Amino acid sequence: MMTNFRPHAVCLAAALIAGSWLLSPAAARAEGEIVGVRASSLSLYESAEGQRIDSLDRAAVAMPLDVEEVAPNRRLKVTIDGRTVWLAPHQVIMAEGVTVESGCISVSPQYASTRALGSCE
Amino acid sequence: MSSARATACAALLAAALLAVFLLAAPTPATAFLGDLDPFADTLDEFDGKFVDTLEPGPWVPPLERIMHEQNARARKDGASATFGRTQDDWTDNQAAEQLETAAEEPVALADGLTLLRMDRPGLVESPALDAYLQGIVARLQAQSPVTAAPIRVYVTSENGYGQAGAMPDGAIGLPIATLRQVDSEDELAFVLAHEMAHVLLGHHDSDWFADARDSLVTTAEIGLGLAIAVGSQVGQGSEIAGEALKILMIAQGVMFATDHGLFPSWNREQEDEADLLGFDLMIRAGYNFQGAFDVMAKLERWEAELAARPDPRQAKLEELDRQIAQSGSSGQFSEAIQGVVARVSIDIGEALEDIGGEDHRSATDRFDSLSSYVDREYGDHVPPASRSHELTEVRKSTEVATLFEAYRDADRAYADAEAGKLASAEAAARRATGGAMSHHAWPRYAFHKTRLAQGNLDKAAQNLELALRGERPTLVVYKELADLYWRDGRQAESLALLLRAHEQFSRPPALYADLIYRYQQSGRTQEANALVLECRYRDRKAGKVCQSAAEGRAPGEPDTSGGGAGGGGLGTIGADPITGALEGLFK
Repeated sequence: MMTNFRPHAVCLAAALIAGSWLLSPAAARAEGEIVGVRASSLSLYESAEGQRIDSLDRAAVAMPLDVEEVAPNRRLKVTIDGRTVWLAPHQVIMAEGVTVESGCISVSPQYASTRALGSCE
Repeated sequence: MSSARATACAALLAAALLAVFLLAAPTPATAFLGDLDPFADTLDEFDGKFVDTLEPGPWVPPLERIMHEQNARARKDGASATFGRTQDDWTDNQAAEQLETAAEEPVALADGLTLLRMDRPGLVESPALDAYLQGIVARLQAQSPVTAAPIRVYVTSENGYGQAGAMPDGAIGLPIATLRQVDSEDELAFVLAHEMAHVLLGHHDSDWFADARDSLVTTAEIGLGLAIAVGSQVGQGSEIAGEALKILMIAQGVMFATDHGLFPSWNREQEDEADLLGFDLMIRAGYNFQGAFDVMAKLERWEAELAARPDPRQAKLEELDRQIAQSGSSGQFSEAIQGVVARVSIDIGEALEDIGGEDHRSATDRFDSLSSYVDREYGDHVPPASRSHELTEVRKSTEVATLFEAYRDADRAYADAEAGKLASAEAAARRATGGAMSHHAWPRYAFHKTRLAQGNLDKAAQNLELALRGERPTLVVYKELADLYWRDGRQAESLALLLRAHEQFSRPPALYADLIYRYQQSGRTQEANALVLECRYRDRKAGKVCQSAAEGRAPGEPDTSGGGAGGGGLGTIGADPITGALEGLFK
C-alpha cells in the first residue's frame, strides 16, 4: 500500500549499496584497466609526483592490471605483486583504447605545397 | 649573314649551350643522396636534449635567402633560353622573349595565409579560438632558443585529426577536427609545438629543393629543344642532343626518385626533429608530456583507419611501368632513351635500395621514438598536472560551440550530398550556414555541393558567391564558381573571376591551365600562349597540363593519348613535346 512507502529507508538502502560498491574491487576498475606494456620495460614510481624507484621487464608484469587511481598529472596507481606503485601512462596499453574520428575529406587537388602532421594517404 | 658566319655563330652558341648544361647539371644524379640516411636514428645523432642543439638567435625566414638565389637562377636560365631560334613550339623568337620575361619576374611567394587558402577547403573565422591558440603559441615560443618567429595559427575546416600543417612564413593550419578531438591543452600544445618546430628548424628549405628540382628539369627540356636546333645547324645534332638528353634523363630520374621515394624519407628525419623539439618546448612551457603521446596514439589510430583505403601511389607506379614498357617497343629512338633511362634508373634504384624502401614514418615508430627519448632525457622529470580547464571553457563558449556544430553539419552535408542523401544534406547545409557562418567558405562549399547534387546550378553558384563575401575565401571556391559560370555560358565572368583569383593567390600554377583553356576557347590565343610559357617555366607538372589546355583539352579531362599530361617523372617522357623532334633526329 502507498501508505507503507518509506522514502528515507529506500534512500538509506541505496546509499549503503553505493558505498559498498565504492569500496569493492569493481570500483577500482572504474578508473580503467591496463592490458599491456608498450615499452620494453616498465618504470615504477614511488608516488604520483615521486621519482622512479624501479623498472620491470615487460614480460615480468602479469596482465591485466586494475588502475586504482589516476593522478592529476595522469600517472596511474596500480598494485603489482602486492606493491603499490605508480606508472607513466605512455608506457602502458589501456583496455579502452584510443578513439578518433577517421575523417579526411579532400575536395580538390592540393594547390600549395604544405606538410601535415599526419597523412591522409 | 653569310653561311660561314652563321655556322660559326651556331657553333659558338652550341658551345655556350653545352657549357650552360654542364654548369646546370646536378651530376652525378645521386650525389645528394649521401646526405640522406633514413635508417639513422635521429636520437643517436645528438647527446642531451634536442632543444639544446639549436643555435640561439633570431629566426631567419628560410625562403628569404632562397628567394634571392632562385631569382638569380631564374635570370640566368632565362638568358640561356634566348639562344633558341628554332622550329620548336616554345623556342620561337616571340616565345623566347616571353620566356625571358617570365624568368626575370621575381618568383612570387605567397604568404602562409594565402597558401592555406590555396590548399585547404575552408578557413574558420573565430576570434575566440584565434586568441586562445595564440596564447598557447606565445607560451611555447617563450621557451625557444630561436626567437621572434612570426608564428600565427589559423583554424582550418578539415575533418582529419592529423591534418595540421606549417607554412614557410610561420603560419600554422590547425584543423577544426583536431580542436574538437584533443582531450587536453597538453595535447593541443604538442600539435602546435610540432608545427612550430618545422618553422623554427627551417624545414621548408626542402620544399625549395622540390621547386629547384622541377626548374632543373624544365631548364633541361628547354635546353634540349635548343640543342636540337643548334646541333642541326652545325651537323652534330645527334651528338649534342644526346648529351642534352642525358642531362634531361638524369634530371627526370632525380625527380622521379624524389617524388616516389626520397622525400618521404627525408621528411621522416624532419618529423623526428619536429617531434623532439616540439616535445622539449612543451615540457619547458610547463605542459604535461603525456599530451604528446596522446597525439601519437590518436595519429596511430587515424592512420590505421585510413590505411584501409586504396593507395593511390600503387596505381601511379603501375601506370609508370606501363608507359616505360610502351616506350620501349617503338623503335630506335626509344632504344636510345631506354639506355639512358636504364642507367639513371639503376643509379637511382641502387641508391633507393641503399637507403631502404620504407617511405613512411608511422605514428607507432614516432611514439616509440619519443618514448625512448623520455627514458633517456626525462627519466626523473615529474610531469605537472594536465591542463584542460581553459580548453574546456573555450569549447563551451557559445561562439565556439556554435562553430563546431556548424562545421560538423557542413561535413555531414558534404558527405550526404556525395552519398545521394539529398534531403538530409540540405537540412545539414542549412544549419551549417546559419548566423555567423553565412559567409564561411567550407559550409558554403558544402551547401554548393548539395545544390549540385540536386541539379540546381544557380543555387550552387549563389552559395559560392556568398562564400566570396567572407573574410578568407579559399581558392577552390573561386575555381568551382568559375567552372559553374563557364558551364552556364558566362564566359567573361568566368575568366574575370579566374584572373582575380590568379592575382589574389600570387599566380598559383594550378590556375594556369584553367586560364589558358578559357583564353583558348575564347579565341584569345596570344594570351593563352603567353601563359603556357609562364606556366611551363614556373611549374613543370602544371606545365604539361597547360600545354594540353592550349591544345584545347579542358583541365581535368582524361588524357586518352597514352601520355601523361598531368604526371611527372619518367612516365611522361613518351608524351613530351620534345619526343617528336628527337625521334626525327635519331632516325
